[in-house]
Amino acid sequence: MSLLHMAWRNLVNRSIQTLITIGVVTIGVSLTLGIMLLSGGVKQGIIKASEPFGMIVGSKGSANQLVFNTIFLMDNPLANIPLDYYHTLETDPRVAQAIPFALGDNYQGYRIVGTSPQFFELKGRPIDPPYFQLEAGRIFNKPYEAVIGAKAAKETGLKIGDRFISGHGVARSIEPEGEHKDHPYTVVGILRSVSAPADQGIYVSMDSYWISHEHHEHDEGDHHEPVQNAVDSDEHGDHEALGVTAALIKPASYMDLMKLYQEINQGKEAQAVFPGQVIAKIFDMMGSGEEILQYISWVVLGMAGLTIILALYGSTVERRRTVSILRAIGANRNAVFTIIFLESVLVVFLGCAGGVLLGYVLSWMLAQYIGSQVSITVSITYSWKLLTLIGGVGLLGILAGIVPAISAYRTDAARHLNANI
Amino acid sequence: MLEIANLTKSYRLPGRELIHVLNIARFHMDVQERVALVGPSGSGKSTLLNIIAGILRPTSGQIRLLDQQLEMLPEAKLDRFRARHIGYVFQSFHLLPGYTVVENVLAAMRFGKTIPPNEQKQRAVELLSQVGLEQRLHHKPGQLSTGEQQRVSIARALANRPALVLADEPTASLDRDNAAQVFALLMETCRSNDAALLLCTHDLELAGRLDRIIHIRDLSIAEPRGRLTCHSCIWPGATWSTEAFKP
Repeated sequence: MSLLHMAWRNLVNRSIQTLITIGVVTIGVSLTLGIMLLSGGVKQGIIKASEPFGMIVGSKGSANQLVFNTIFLMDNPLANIPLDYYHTLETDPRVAQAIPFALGDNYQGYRIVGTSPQFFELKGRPIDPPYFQLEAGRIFNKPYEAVIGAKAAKETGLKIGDRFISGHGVARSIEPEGEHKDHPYTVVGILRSVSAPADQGIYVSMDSYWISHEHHEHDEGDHHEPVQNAVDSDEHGDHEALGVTAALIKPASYMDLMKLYQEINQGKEAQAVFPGQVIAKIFDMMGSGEEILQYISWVVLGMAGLTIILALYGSTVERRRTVSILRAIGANRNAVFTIIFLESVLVVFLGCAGGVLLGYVLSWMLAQYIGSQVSITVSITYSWKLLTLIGGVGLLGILAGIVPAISAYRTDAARHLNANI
Repeated sequence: MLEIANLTKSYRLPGRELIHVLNIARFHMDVQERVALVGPSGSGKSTLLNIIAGILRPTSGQIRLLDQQLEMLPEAKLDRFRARHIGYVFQSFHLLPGYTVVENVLAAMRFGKTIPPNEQKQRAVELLSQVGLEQRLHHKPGQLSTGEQQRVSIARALANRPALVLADEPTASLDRDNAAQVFALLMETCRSNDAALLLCTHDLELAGRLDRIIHIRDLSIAEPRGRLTCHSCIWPGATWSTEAFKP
């Protein structure tokens, strides 16, 4: 019969107290881990989602809104930039590639993005394969053909060859008059999931986008949808006046990129943003909240440590009897110290193991929820920092176990044996 | 086998008052001898057993057991000696509460290290069978009657084939029938395992069944002179009387 087995028996004998202590350690560890895993995972997911977009040029206004529009397909679109300006960018020798990005319609709440076939050639890094890959079908090559993101396909049930009628505006409308009934789209391609908000997009050619909005202008006249408000359309029927929400710019070189960035931002017509910079600012804003959560989790962990001490110390009376019996049957002081110390080690180990498991499960569930809400993949990966944290908690708990172990070491066996407890 | 000479034990109370609890000029026990130690509560019987077991240190004096001078041994060696050569049966059993019956016996073997590990389980089962608990091996102490708990305690005391079993009022917590059974069992198992027995008791009838009766009184030990008769004894052959003791 090993000392570890004896320690286990002692813990089982105080099962309720043991379970409460393990539970507190589990909650402390899982909270801390969950916060760290999620914050790291969300950041990774957002950064990954923004990688292929390079520099984004849009109309003057909120940089955050521009990033939300293009990368996350969220928020009301900014006003359009004129097509002339877009053409200027496109023909600029410092620009290797300019891809239009236009918002304005939706299908069942999924945003329809007017763009060019080059959009599907975007890459995170030059050595990477294209970010968007077709799961089925092909890329659109004429107006009113649509390529749909994986999540949009799954949620709407659209398949290759299906036709659908878009609704006007970026948000789902229950009013049928907002629909472009004359121009149904045909699904020609479905994208493979990229686990990013882009999975929620429905991608069509710029021609489709312009024709729809040209008709919309004719049909409805004056209205107040953001895209339309952005259009300085004195010439109804001239779709080129509609412009684009944003241009995704790939520069010829890094130097060109910086010059272009400065030039655009110094001008009055547009703004240029680097998604990474904007996202870093958002992370900074999130940081204070995240910090508070981390402080809370540290407090919970501290309480877990105290609970271990209290639980182990609180059972001193009962333990004195056990220790005295062990001494009477021949256990020396070192043996009883080891048994009591192993009790702490077992409690801490089980608490940490439970915390890691619960933290992972909670993080996974929250990651699934976040993924379903904003299509950002939250990758749950353990890092050295997390392992260090778990190790630190374990060490703290083990140190806490030394106190009752010393108390057991010093127990006067004769006194407790004769007390007829 | 056991020789005690000039043994004293004193405690200093918090108010610095010195309390003398034991003063034994001479005491000895032979191999496999069964001795009853009688005396009123607080007379130092348990203290003497604890000193012999090495759980308590004497204030002065010599204790020689199996050619080992116990008062000279460092604590760790004394612990090992106790584990190997001394079995202890308590009035309130003192079984380890979270352990099963068989684990209680195995725990004693873990520290004694006299029984090879591959034979420990077999010996534990044998001992528990001897005390009639072969059907209760995996029960916890809380699931046993008081009589059964004391029988586990006896099996545990004999786990390491000790030369000496110390029993501190082993029947005091039991009813009359159980007390008689447990006492008979203790005697029999000590005999079959070749162990000497030093038993503290208030029960003069039980004491009368042992080879010798020692009265601990006035901080010293007195032995009865000659063979005396106990009029209230229920066991044939028991000869004892409280009036017969001389200091």
